[in-house]
Amino acid sequence: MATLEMKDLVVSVEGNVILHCINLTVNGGETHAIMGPNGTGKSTLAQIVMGHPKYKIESGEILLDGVNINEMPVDERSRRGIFLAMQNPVEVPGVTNFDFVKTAVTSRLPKDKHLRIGKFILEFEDTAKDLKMGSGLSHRFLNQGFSGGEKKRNEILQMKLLKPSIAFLDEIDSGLDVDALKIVGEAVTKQKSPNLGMVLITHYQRLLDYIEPDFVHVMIKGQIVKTGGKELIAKIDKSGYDWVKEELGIEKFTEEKEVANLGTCATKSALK
Amino acid sequence: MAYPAYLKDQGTLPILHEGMKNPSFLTKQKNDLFIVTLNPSVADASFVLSSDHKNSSIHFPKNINVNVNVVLFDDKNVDSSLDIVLDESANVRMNLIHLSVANKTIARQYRVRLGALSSLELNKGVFAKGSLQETEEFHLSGKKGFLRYHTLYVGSTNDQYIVTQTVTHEAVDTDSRIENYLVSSQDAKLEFLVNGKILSGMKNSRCYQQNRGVILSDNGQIRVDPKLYIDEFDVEAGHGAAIGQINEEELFYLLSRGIDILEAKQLVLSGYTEPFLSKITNESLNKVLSKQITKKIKGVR
Repeated sequence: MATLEMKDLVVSVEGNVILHCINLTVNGGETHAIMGPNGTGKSTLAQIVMGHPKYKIESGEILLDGVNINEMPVDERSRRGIFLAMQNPVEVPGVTNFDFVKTAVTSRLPKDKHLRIGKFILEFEDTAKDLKMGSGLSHRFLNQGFSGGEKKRNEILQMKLLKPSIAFLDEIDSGLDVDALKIVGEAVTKQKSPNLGMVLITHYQRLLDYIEPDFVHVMIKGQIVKTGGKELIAKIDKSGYDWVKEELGIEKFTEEKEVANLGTCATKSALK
Repeated sequence: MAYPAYLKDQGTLPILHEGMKNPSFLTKQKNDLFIVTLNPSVADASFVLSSDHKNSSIHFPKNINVNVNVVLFDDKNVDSSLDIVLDESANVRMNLIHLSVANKTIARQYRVRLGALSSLELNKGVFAKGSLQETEEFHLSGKKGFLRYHTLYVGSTNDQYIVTQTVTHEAVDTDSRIENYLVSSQDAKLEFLVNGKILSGMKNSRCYQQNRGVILSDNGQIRVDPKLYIDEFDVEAGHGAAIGQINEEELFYLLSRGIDILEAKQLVLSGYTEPFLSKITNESLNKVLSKQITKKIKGVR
């Protein structure tokens, strides 16, 4: 049974501290939900655990089964059992979905072992079928031309085939319609076992209708400010996050929107 | 001239050249230019390769339907041209592969003409070593001419490629799409000028260009200048170019699945090479080229 611990974790990006003193322990068999308004650092938390090079750990530590992984390369973290289902999976043109997953699964095998390709093909196809992903998925380029829902289901497909011990699911519900949400929710729930600790990052209750969490954390301004059980979900769904602010005396928090000029490549001329 | 072992030793690869008894071909030139064919029906086409190796042509007659592989191998400095002509309703799928020994200066002009209702799916791989200057002209001169042109250019060490591609829609209802995949390794410099022209009156024509380039070092360069010259209203056209080093987010995604950095980079690169290689259906030729591409990227001369 794996254990992931974050101890007094402080994280910055480009000199700005965005996570303040995070303490969180996830054990195998547990399901945690992290909720919070936009821009409070939920996705950053998942990315820093995975080792995204954009973020810097200023202090504190991340321990996987007691081993400090602060400096561990991304691929090694993955092979040691950490998985991140991404909010916006990137498209990799020219690399087929099947080749990608096969390479990822092979990377986990001991050097003297080979992937049993026939067995793997069957497992891939069965998993895709469970997620109702349609035929031809294996030959399509990785995430290229996938709908939002297909991309999210493809993340879950990878999770099922890679069999991690700690998985972060970052807004896996966004872009999913009601039916797809049910399929994904049920597929994730089936994965629950003492060998898997899960962290769900979400804004909405609807995902948690299908995947029942053991712990719910509210994150605001880069900190976990409240931890509780399922009762928190209903309260957040009903009243938003203002009550948390009032209860804890946190200053008003607002979603900061940056205005950007997208520019133009068109020129305007008068009609003749 | 000695053929390179990686081509000559392919037991299943039918390399045709002067002196080989094959009535399907008329090859008058020396050894530098040769044609590899997989499809016997190509005998219906006439191949005229000039004795001075300056001007060569491949002529596909009316209604022919063929798959052809053409391998150009240069072992000396070359200044030559190759004409490809498709008559009415000719349907041709061609792999055109250009290899050379190290440090050659190669200038080559391609002139391609498509007749009415003809279709050319051209898949070109260029792995020449040294200085390469290419001019490619595609003339869609017959109604409903159809061109799909996919390329892979891999430059490494101090290779310099300067390529000008021009597609001209000279008939109504013609359709062209160019997809350039460019790889620059080490100090290689690739410069592409990609022109699409739809002439006045050539209604219902479609002209698209797509260019993707990846630079694998700090000293490499890729420059693409895509241009469209449209002189008709009732047409479709589009162009674009995306060039850069390997995307950090792509790498992070691959690494986050346990794939190590070298393999991750190879996977991203295969996104450039696979679209070309997947069209080489001859297994032996595919293996040969796959190895050559890997060597080329690593800068093995």
